[in-house]
Amino acid sequence: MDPFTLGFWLVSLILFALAWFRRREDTVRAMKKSKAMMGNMLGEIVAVILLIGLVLSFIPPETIRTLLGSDHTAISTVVAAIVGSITLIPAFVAFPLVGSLVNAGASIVPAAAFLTTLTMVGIATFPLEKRAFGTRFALTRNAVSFTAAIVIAIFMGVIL
Amino acid sequence: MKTEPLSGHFNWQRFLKKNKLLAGTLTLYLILFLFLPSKAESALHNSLYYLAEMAEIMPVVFFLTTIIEVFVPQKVIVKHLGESSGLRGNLLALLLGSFSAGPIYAAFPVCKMLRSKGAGISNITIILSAWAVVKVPMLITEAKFLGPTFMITRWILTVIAILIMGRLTERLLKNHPERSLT
Repeated sequence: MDPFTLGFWLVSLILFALAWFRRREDTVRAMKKSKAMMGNMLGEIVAVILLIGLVLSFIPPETIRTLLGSDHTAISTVVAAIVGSITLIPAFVAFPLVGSLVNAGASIVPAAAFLTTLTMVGIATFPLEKRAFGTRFALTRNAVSFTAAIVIAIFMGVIL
Repeated sequence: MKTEPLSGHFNWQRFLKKNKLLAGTLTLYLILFLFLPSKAESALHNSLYYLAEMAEIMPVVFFLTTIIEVFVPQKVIVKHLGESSGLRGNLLALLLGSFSAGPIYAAFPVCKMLRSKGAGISNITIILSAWAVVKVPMLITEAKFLGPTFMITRWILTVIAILIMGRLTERLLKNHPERSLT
């Protein structure tokens, strides 16, 4: 568990204890509301996670390496952004992978596009986002994020 | 997944109806286990990391949404994160999203709770995006493998992009208020 998650546990447990002992009735009502909001999310999260595992076993890191290292920067940037949107790779795998590519001479534009869509655009988590906020919001946010990732990547290329 | 009838056995029909995605995925895995057991095993192995991550963060999310509901009055949220909170609201949202833990789906219940108490669409978008991208442990890893210049440049560009994205998303959804956010 990283320190941030640990800190979150501590703070939320302390505040929750405070709520529980000071305002029992409100807390019970709030817990019901929270439960309703998280609703069936857990089942869907488990499903999404199992699907990600499935996708990853068919798109191994080596494939991503080939895609990001292509000579056609424009094409590989768009492809990298799309791959980043579909997959969800832990940061401790993604950064070394992309780092080794860039150090080997690959363009940083597709690298930046990939790293940005990896976390900001979520096709895998789309069903969850749709359930929480509605289709229209989920579609708009992901489309805007995808465009932003490409723009960020281009700026990275211009600046660095 | 809510409740099964007290006397009867587990209601499979109801469970499947409420968890279509999970049922579909489990079927997929079953087929894979029958025909490509090694692939199924590696898929399951890949998922373990994310399942552990989920188990670490989701209880916190439950506590956090409960705490927000108990302690933070609607007035405060409307004033500081509402539609008319302006740039100050956007910056607060950026800060809140950056001091977060866990993957983006952990932010969904928190943002939904904030939305139900009057937070604006732009600020919800900003919190979600910052939650996903701007994280201190992640920035440290990025600096380690891609260099501090790369990390800082991408961080600055991302923060600017997130602030613009919040406004843009709000504007795009404003024209369709009836179907925008629940």
